[in-house]
Amino acid sequence: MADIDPPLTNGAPSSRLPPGTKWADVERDAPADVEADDEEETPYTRVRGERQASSHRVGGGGGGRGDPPPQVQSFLRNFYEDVEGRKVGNIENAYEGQFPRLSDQYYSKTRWVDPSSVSRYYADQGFEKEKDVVLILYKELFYRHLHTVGGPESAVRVRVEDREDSWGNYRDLFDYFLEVEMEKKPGRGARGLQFPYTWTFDMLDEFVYQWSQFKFFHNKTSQGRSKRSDDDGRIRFREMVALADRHIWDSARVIEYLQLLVNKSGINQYFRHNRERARGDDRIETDLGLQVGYFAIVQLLRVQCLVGDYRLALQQLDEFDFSGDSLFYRVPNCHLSLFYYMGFSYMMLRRYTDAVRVFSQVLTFLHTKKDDYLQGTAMGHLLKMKDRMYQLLLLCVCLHPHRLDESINMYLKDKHADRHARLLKDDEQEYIDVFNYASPKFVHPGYPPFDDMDDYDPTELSRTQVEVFLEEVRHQKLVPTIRSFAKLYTAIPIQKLASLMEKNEDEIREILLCVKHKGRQLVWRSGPPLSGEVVTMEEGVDFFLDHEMIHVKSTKIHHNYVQYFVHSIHTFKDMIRSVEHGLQRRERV
Amino acid sequence: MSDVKAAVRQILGGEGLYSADSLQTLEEYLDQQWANDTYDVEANLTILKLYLMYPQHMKKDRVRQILVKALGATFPQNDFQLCMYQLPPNRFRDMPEVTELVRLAAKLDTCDFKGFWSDLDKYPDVVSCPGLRAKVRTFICGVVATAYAALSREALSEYVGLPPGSAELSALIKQHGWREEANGELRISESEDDRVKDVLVKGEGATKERISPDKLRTVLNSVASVR
Repeated sequence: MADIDPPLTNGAPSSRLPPGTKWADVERDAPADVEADDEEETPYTRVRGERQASSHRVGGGGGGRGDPPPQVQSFLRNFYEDVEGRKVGNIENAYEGQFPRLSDQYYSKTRWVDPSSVSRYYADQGFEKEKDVVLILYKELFYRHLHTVGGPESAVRVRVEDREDSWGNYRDLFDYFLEVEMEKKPGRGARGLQFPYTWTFDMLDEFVYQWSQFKFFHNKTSQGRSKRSDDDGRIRFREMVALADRHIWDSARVIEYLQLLVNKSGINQYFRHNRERARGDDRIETDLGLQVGYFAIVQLLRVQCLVGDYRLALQQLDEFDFSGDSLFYRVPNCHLSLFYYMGFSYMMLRRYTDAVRVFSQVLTFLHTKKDDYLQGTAMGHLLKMKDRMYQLLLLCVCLHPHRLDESINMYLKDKHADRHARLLKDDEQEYIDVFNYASPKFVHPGYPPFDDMDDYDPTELSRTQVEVFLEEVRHQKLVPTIRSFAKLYTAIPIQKLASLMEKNEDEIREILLCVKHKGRQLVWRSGPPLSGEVVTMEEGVDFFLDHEMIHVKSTKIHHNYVQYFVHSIHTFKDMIRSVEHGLQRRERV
Repeated sequence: MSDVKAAVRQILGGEGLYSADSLQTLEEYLDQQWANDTYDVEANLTILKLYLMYPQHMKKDRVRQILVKALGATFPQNDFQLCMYQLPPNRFRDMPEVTELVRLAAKLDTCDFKGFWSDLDKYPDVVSCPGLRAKVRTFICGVVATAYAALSREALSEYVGLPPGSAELSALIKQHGWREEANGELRISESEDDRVKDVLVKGEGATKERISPDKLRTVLNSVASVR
């Protein structure tokens, strides 16, 4: 790729402030958070502005005026020293403990300390050695925090400049990975940086998130402004065009960056190498480059899924390591994302058996782990993702009956019984609702067609996904009817079935063939996730045609009682144990 | 000819993958696929994605070409559907070049094979696509083979869109190894067992937790002891 900026080593972060400015000046000079970039929202922005101003006066615990609180200053100082000194434990602490805590305490309604002030602060402290890297990392936290607290409901706005600057910062960060960390040879030269796995994953995850957010914002705002014919509207529309001209958050580049991180990290070769040996190599535990490559694969899966290219999404996982000691088990967010996007892609490829397998695998895992596995800052997000997977699972089994694990069955019965019933009744609106709720928020990879905005619809790509999916639902519409008739007969002439269903014989033949056609699909056996072999559905009622006669195969389902008994025995065991425990305690008393 | 293929490999390998400049090479490659009856879904989906990203480069006849090729890969890949995910309404889908094919594909997917063949004749460009009809027939025969134990030669001829008396139909029957009886009846599956056998549904994936009789005895004992 031709277009990577020069390495960051000279690229000092842009400082809008003259040297010698004090913290207090910084706060005053910082542009107000209020920016009317969505004209329709102007009435609210005024209110927001007032709220913002008052929160500054009250000081949000001292963050508004004067120097940042001492705790924040010491956080910044330690952060520099820990990164420079490669103290992984401390960095982990800073990332998972202090930063979220300070954010709650001082910055729940405002931005963190402006990066340019932090830069000057470091300069004042004489911290110069790795200032650029530390600042990139700080900005990563800063913009992530801003994207979390900012929003239409909040006093904080994510401005266009913020989006643009954050894009630049990710490029700096990735260039640093590509040109410094991935160039390091083991045992030679300076020690590489180390982050907690969660942070490395979160960086790449946030990169894709901010890309999607930019796209939503840009497509929608462009459309809104294109409708205005006054001078101001035209100027504002041109601003949107200019963003595209400067390739800000350009999808092609987002994908290219991720691809480059994967390729240069050598992660796929590492997977291959490990597969070919009996004893695995655990270099990935300490090699930041490999970790970045690993998580970049998961993000490529996600991006391709978000733009509706499900085949290419799964293709990213050709070499991926799904063994028990794979890194994703240590980063719940990665674990869930990986299985969510994988399962969703399978579903869209009409490989329902595989989708059910993937969703079941992660959901039974979560079932045994309970919810503390998901604890952490992203817990709400992860619980939602979990519920989405349950609902997608529901869609899959409605389209293609499949036996589910007992624990999943119970959860679905418990939480989504109504939904399940409505889906089985072939309620199309229900399919739409579940799909819209449980699918990812699709991202249109292109910029708006600026020359011809008349019939531009920013949601066109997501509408397409629903429609193509519904097509499948419609094609399967009569499958359950056929199955229920087949249950009643051992043999029935086509002609008779036709009169029962009030259709002509040709139509019945089509439907019967369609049932058989839909009963086969590609199912993964081993190797790359895209591979598979054609398998005919075992579940439910089966039949075959002999000329004009439909013969129903007698189906004996041998239920799996073991599962039921094991479950009950475990329950009893637990009960007995707690009873005995209680008795013992009483005896002691 | 192989130059184009090599260039395509390079593009799909990441070199300018999402640059509008790659379109020309990919489109040339599409022409080759058409002429030589070869097929590369990854390259074709890339074209559609580039059209989505750079709508000003979109060419209707190319979209149609890609969709026609995808009709030949209806099962098990569902390539037609994969293409449709990349074709939003308004700008890409609401034109006869595309809607005609959507209808054709739906006929295949719902197994309205008679309707498929009678519609197909209306579109000479689709009919002329080398190898397409043979691929569709293979798909149809696959469905017929899973559904029928026996059917008449006439019925099959309607499904695959070939005249009952044609040599092509006989070749197709031979190709699938179906036995033709004197009265013109086709035996698709031979053994009686194969057709009426019970379906045993095994518990799979759910049996990870096992409990040995010994453990069971302990559990039952402790159940018995609590009273």
